[in-house]
Amino acid sequence: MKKFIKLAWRNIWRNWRRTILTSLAVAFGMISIIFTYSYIEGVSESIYRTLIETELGHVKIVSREFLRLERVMPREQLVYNAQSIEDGISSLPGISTMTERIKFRLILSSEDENEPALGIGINPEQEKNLFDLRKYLIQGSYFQESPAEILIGDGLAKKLGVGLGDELLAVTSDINYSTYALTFTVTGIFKSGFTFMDKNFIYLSIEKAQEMLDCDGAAHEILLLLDDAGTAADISSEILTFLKESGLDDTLTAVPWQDNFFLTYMPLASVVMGSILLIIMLIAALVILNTMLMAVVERTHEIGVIKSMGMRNGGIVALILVEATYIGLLGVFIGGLIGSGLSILAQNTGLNFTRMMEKMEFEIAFFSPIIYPKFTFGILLGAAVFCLTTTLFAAIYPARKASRMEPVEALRTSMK
Amino acid sequence: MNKVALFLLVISITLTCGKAGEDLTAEEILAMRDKNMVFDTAYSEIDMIITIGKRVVEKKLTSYTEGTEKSFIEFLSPARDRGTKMLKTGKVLKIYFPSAERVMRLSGHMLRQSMMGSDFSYEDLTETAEELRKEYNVKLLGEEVFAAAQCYVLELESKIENKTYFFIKIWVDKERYIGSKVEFYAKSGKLLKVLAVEDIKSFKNRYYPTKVTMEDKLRKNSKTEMIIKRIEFDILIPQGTFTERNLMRK
Amino acid sequence: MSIAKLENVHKVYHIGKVDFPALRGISFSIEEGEFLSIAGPSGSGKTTILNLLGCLDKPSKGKIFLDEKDITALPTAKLADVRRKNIGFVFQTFNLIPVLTAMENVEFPLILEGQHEAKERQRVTEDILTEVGLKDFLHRRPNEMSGGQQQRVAVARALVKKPKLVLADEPTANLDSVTGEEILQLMLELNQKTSTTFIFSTHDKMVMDFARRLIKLRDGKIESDQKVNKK
Ligand SMILES: Nc1ncnc2c1ncn2[C@@H]1O[C@H](COP(=O)(O)OP(=O)(O)OP(=O)(O)O)[C@@H](O)[C@H]1O
Ligand SMILES: [Mg+2]
Repeated sequence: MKKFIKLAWRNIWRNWRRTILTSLAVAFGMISIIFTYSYIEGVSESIYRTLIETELGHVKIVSREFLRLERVMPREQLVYNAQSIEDGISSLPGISTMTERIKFRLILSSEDENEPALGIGINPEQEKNLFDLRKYLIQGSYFQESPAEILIGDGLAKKLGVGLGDELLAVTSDINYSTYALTFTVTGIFKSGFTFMDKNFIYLSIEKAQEMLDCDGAAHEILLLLDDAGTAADISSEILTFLKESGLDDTLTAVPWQDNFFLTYMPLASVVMGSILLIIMLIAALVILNTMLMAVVERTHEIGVIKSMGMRNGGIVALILVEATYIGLLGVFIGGLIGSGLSILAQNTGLNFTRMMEKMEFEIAFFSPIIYPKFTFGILLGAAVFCLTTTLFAAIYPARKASRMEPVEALRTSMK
Repeated sequence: MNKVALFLLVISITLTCGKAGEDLTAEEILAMRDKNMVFDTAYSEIDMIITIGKRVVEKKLTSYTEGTEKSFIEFLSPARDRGTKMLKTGKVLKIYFPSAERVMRLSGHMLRQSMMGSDFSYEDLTETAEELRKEYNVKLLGEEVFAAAQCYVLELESKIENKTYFFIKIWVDKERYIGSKVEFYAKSGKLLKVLAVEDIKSFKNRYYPTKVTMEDKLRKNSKTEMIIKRIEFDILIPQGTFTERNLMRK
Repeated sequence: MSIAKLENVHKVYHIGKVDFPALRGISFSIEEGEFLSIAGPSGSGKTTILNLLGCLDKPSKGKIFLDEKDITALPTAKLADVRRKNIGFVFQTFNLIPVLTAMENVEFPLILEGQHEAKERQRVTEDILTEVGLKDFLHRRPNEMSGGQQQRVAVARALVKKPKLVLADEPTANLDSVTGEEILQLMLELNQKTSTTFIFSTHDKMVMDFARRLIKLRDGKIESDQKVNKK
């Protein structure tokens, strides 16, 4: 292979326009791959983070039924002895926070409007260690001990036509199917950027939520925040063992965050994007194939000369592959530079989809309107390997074609 | 003479009386019933039994009705529901919650919510037979035997696009002109709810369904029975019953 | 000792369904150090013979020996090895690799051989280029040189690996007569100095005069084969 390094390098510059164009095709593939995967990485990281903060915790202790019917949120599926469970597992290493939540559907009624909403009853002190709503508050303040406080998403506040200090009537069906209502005062308005949350969520104290559902002392979920997210599965299984052995409540289960349906959906997104990239790479491969084929056909006579000097067929294959590799490397270099640059730029400024998302009728839960792509060296490396492999594969056919030329025939072909 | 929706749309459309006639058109069959809704006012005591899976919840309520426009309901039990009152005037429903000491006004799409945890929606409660006839086209599908009685099968199709129940199918008993079963469908053809009349009593000059069961097919293993324990027709309703003041009375 | 030998060699080309016999029973033997010219009119089979001797093609019938070894039935890869080690080509159209300098073109066969250190390779290359009179043109690319200079580079390239046999197919056909003579003079000198065997084809009377042995072809057969005695 060493033998052809100089020759191959000189050869690719014989038609420099074509070489540049071809390497730009590779570069384009490279840029697409880097950017797309940085984007996917950024989206999934943002989704993971948000999901953990708002939905999953690192570990969630919940009734199996509540988990199974998550969409319906069966309000009567409660964790009754949350305190004993928390006491029991507090000795497990690596748990940094435990917080309880109640989740229920309710109707909010202002002077002129009624809107369905999702109520989250929280323990404000513990909750802020897991999900710090304070960072999203645009008006008012976090819970301040007065029981009838309510924090409301800005979209929902707009729909209801309420502002700070306004009163809201909240109506829900309790665990016994009785209808119960309480009035609250809006003391804070948050804007998380997650349209679904901002248009549907309210936060209230867990005591008030318990009163509304008629379930004193109970919660729907205990969420744990761990020192190391990676230990979630281990801690979950230890909690399961504890639940079983203590005999506290056998309807409960502990779920590590990785088990979520949303997260299993993420690889699918990668597959979809992957197939788009595959098409881009296919085009790049065709450009390479075409270029190398042209190069081979143009140089038929010369290949005859080289063969007459005793170069074996394998040598010819190697020569053409080295040429393709140069072009590929050039593309990888250019594309890697631009792709990484763009991704890092986007990572710092963020891609703002707010306008687009506002126009959308449906809402994607937990899809932040500002995406910060996340560039990693691994992505660059993966993209480079993939692009080079593609280049080499595309060059195999031209290389074999060149190597199989009969020297006599090749020499008879007129020179260019 | 008022055509009365009584208390529930679903009861109103099952109500029918009068003579049997052969070869009636669909409109005539439907009209028979409305024409014969011959009371101005009614008072009833009702048990509502909600069954969800293994859970059974019983609620007691009383109801005053005047014409198609007005009704007033008060829940007596269980404890957390006691004192909850509803006032329906026209298309607007007001609910008073004693725990919050507030009145909530429900209208529009909010009326599609479940009423007090039952299989009935508030909308089921406020829609009148009159509106039904205005907003649907009626078609006679044929005859069928249902619950050992020969029935006309009517199909109602909404004239309006975004109606919750786009199609309604009613089985009308040929003998007594009582709707014995009603099915409610979405525009997609999905079955949403099924109402069955399980008991009919005859009063002085009318038949009246006294036990109906509603099943919301979108809720799993769920049904709500509505049993009329007592009903009095054409009584004198106290002045000021259908007012907001009455709603908020302790 | 015979360095190359053809035994009743036939070559038939297939053009569509028609068979065209280009060589019809050629036999001759070449001794080491000969300076031999194959002459004949166009189409008489000169190139065909050189291709067969150069292991670029295989005969339809008959046998070819190089160094007393039968190479007729060798597989393609082995033929390439024989060419690399034993045969140097000089072409009518020079056929230098356009992207390489004179030095690099001459060096290329050595690189292919893979026997020499880079330093030694360069020394050998420079020596031979000096010998063909191109000391000052080492770093010129082919398109920066005259035809005669290019052919000198080609001769150097054919000789650099010290092959047993140099095959030159009408090496002067693309050169004016003065330059052509210079090239032949050069080849003759090299032949005498290194005793490398040269076989060149031509239909030019002047070129034939340089030969020490002349084989005349006509219609794929040897018309005459004679030694030419020079002073
Ligand atoms: N690949 C081929 N296919 C068909 N015919 C061929 C092929 N190569 C050579 N021939 C024919 O064989 C004959 C001998 O060809 P060759 O090239 O050996 O002649 P030549 O003596 O070198 O002629 P020239 O002086 O024109 O170079 C010619 O008639 C030629 O047309
Ligand atoms: Mg020829």
